[in-house]
Amino acid sequence: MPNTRSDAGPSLMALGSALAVVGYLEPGLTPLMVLGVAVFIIGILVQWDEGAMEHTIVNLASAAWENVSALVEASGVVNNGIYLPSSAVGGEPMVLVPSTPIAGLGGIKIIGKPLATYGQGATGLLLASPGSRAVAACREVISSDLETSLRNCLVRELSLARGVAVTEGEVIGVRVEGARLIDLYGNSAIRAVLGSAMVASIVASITAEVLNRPIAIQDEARDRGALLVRLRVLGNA
Amino acid sequence: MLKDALITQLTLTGVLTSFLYYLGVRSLDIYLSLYTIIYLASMLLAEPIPRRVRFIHNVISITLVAVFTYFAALRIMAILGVSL
Repeated sequence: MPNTRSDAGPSLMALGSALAVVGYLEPGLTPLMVLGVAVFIIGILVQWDEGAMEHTIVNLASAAWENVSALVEASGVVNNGIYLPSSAVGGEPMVLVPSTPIAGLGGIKIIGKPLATYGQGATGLLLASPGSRAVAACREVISSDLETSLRNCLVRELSLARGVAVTEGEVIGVRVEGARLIDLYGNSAIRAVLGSAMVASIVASITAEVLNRPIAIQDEARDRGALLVRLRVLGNA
Repeated sequence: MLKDALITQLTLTGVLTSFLYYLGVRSLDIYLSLYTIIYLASMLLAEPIPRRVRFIHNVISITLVAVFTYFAALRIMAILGVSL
């Protein structure tokens, strides 16, 4: 089963069990018992249906990521992607895949998508990521406060997590509680470029947009159902 | 699509149990047998059922049909005058 979470299935199962037990114990309440069984069965189906179609769609769409991955590998630029705000590239926020690992960025000049130059004339690839689409979908709820923006987008707008907590500092720590960890990329090389979890990519893009600075994903970790993403701010856009 | 099937199923089950209770039916086998028919008929609305859900749907269907067959067999045996 994919790591999706919903309370509806277990809640219906609990309610159905309770109704069935009451109906069984109380003489003359047979219909209540049958209703309990019906609700319990509906709970099971709801629980198993959760994410069934999205799992199929993600699986079919993974061919696109495999193609992107092959192109990135062929161009020899498999480095950690740098999430750029929309102000740096014009239009939607994108990911710059630099030709060499870098610690900071100079001015970014777009030669023509998907190519861009940065720093002292080095060339990199500009890619759209799930975060690019997330920022577009959450444009209205993104404010100047990072934690509020992440919470509004991931929890309220996209329903991809239950809660978000941010620790700001030199390295920004973002703890995403109850994240839906949908595996978009499979084992392709694009995983090393964009980060392994789709949610991490969205967190990085929104952070870049809110801070208006380039962001790199330093590392990701799982901690008891939460996803911990550490982000590095790379300088001015 | 599954949502439509589940709403239909719960509505029909609610209406059926209320009506049978109003008529004074207290026998579990009648309720369960009719629920089995409602379940199998309403799940046709969910076709094509996603592969993962199909597995659990098959398990539930087989269980309900087995229970239905058991109660039906008891009734038929009673009519034929056969005792276990």
